[in-house]
Amino acid sequence: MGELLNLIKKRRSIRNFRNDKIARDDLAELVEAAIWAPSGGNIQSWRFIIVDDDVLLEKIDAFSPGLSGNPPALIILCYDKNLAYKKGGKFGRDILSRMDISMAAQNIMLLAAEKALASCPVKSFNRGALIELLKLPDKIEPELLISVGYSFVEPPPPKRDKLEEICYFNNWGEENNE
Amino acid sequence: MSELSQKEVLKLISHMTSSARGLIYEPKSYGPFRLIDSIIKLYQTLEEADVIKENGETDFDEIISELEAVKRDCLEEDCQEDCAEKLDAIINKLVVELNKEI
Repeated sequence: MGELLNLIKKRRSIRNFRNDKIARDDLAELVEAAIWAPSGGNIQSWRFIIVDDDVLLEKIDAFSPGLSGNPPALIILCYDKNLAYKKGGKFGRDILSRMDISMAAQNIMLLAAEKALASCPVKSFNRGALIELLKLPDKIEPELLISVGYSFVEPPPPKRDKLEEICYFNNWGEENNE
Repeated sequence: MSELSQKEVLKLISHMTSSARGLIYEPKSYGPFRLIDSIIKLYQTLEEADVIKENGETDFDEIISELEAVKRDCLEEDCQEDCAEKLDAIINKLVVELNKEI
């Protein structure tokens, strides 16, 4: 199996972190990986905030029910609504920018896995509280948090559907699989 | 002297309020998960503040550890019956414990 596929299969959503801080160079490198993700119309409306301040982490945690395990760092993936609309219209702002964020997030989590860093994408956070805590301007929309840290847990692989049940060549083949 | 700081109380209230707000549009299965998560956070906060007067009869650690296990399982596919059974078993224990206290 190829190295990349191995890494993809090795990545887990981890909700249990050690206290160890992460070097800022490593965190910046994760975001470097993010900005090489595909971007619809190459609009690149994504914006990133890296949080490694303990007090701010504690505050964000209080308003983010999906966040678990006290990670030492968070990467907040946002997008610039104005830029996305200006360059891509409603479709660019409402659809493409969010798809871009998802693809950027996967790059972050895969590079984290390669660096033996645990990560977890988190969508369950209170938007208003996060905007206030991070002092985000009106044009910036927070879309996803990724917790990052070192961990001592290695969860078993989650269940995945069999490829032949969900993937077809050339045309829909559900009947052939029943 | 035991003490529960205003900060910790605020964190709990913020967490539970944000959970309630999020649950309006989140999947139904997140409900038990968020509630159990809140119970665990509440217990940990009370324990760290040393405000629980323990008479040594109730094994809170065991109950919390069982809740932790249900929390881990309750977002799994087709887990409803299993989680309901486990929560029923915990509730039965709680009835026994509460009967001792009241």
